[in-house]
Amino acid sequence: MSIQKTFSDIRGRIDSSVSRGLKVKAKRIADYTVMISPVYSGAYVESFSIKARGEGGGRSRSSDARDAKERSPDPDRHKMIALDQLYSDITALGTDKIDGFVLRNRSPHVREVENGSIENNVPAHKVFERVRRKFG
Amino acid sequence: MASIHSDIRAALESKLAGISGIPPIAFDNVPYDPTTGTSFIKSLYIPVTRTPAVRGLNPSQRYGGIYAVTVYCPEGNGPATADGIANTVIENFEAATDVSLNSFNVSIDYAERQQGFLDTPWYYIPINIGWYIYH
Repeated sequence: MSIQKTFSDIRGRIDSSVSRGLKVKAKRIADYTVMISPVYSGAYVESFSIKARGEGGGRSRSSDARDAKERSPDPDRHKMIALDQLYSDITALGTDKIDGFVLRNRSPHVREVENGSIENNVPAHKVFERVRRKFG
Repeated sequence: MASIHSDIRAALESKLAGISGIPPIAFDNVPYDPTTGTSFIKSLYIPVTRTPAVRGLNPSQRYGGIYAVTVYCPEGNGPATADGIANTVIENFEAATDVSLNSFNVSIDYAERQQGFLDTPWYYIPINIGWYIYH
């Protein structure tokens, strides 16, 4: 019985250590993602979320709801909001064993930002591909 | 050495330009006016990382990035043309091979395509080619 408890304690400490490491990585990904994200109305960058693997949902801000897609006069403010939200998501991952996490963006124009659009004269920003390339 | 990027770009762009049977290519920052109804390819060089490969003074650096190639075909004609061009590009940037120009080698990590999307009047397929080099 005492050996089982020892193993259980060791496993608990390993899980906790792995979770801490994952959270550090999640924070680095959040920092980089927000840094390289373009800001026009701010809807795209504010639509990022980090969720535990298998968990549904995520944020979706629409520029349509922000007065006809106008350029924001303060891009840094949107980046700060986005970072704050992502840090809250990372905290919400909890202290128990984390099985991985997923970075999502559910804004309606996420594909356009990623791959560009000739019709709307948007360059390909490849935000997700760059995050993947950097963090694997 | 910052100028390495022009060498990497040249190697990747030359490789793409040398593929036979593909439509005209719109390179970075070169004026290109697509003609509706005519296929074309857009290429974009994206450096991402520059990290020391080893510890110590003056270490070799590992540079990594993406060569984003997008195949544009006229919309409404089915996916076959774009699929064919995308396959040809991927086959020429096969993973675990090197792209060489003047004895300068860039290694390919992966070459992947996504599904096709509509961007009226185009149907396009994005291809992401992951590259790296130690220098």
